[in-house]
Amino acid sequence: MNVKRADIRLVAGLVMLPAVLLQTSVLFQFVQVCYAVSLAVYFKRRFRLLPNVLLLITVTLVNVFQPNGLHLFDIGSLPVTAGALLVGIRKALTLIGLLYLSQYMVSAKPKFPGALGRLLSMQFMYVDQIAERWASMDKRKPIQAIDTLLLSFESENILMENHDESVDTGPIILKELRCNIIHCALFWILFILGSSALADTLAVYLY
Amino acid sequence: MTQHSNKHHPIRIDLVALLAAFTLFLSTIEYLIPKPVPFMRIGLANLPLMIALGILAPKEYALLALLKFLGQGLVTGTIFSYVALFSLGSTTASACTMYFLYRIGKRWVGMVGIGIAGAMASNVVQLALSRYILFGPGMWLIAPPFLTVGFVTAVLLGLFAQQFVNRSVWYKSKVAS
Repeated sequence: MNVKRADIRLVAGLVMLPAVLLQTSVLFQFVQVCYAVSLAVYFKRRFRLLPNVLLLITVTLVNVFQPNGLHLFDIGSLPVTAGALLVGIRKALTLIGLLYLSQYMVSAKPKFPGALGRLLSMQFMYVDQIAERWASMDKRKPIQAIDTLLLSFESENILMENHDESVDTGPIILKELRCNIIHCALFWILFILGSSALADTLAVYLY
Repeated sequence: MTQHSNKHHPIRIDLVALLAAFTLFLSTIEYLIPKPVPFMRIGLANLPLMIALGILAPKEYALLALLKFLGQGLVTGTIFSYVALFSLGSTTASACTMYFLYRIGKRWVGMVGIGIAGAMASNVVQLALSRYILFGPGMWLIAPPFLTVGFVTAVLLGLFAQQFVNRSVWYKSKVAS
């Protein structure tokens, strides 16, 4: 079976994406976002609260300037409406959710096929080399430092090493497959719940 | 490693990959620099794109822009999100603007002018995408500070690129070859 973990996560992510995008309930979308963040963090992707909170606030605030629906209160002469607030929160949650879902999708380091894939591998190999050489350079004169850095690669061939030696075994693939089927199912269950009467009941209860 | 795109213009894969790696390295450095406001970007990763203007052929330059987008998307993990759309749009806009401006007006426009044009093209595309994807009409409230920050950082980056082009031994050797 020539399937890799990276491929499974990639496909699973693509299956989960519409469930977040098409979600109509803010509450269930929030749960989906938390789930996506948990998946990304579990696979060692970084989560920082502040940028996400800032994004949520900025997008929501800007959307408040387009009054829509129930009038809640005023900030100066600006009417704040429930519809505008919800649209803003939904947009921000969608953005954050897709961001972390994307992080999960690339957590197993998928490889691009063909010439482009080889070129990307070469790019990453050069990045490692640049980082290594840059660390030992005098950065007080940045122009000179960059020049020296680039010159150091002259007359040098970066060997194309094959970093994709590891082969995912059958049990690992099966486990990955099982886990991802569960993730996909949960994302779509949350979507269905968000579209059902339960979401409306919960919304009335909460608001 | 050189591949032939056609009989006359071989694509210098090594050089393109090196410059693409440099964009990725600079974007990592930029990521580490704390920013007072979320929309503030220095655009350090555009430096190799500016340097490459005088070195790369059109196909090589397009490949560099594509690698910049893909590399950043893969490293940050944003390649399958809205952020990738912003990144692709802004990279394409700034790369095309800078390339055509350099080809048409390099006698009259220096790196600062090219940098400003590239940054403005990039920012306008990002604002347009934000208008339809995120913010709606209220987005124009963010436009003035966003464009101002973009202008200032483009001037600084342009000055740096001009200095590099004037003084770099590596750059001169590439232009000569």
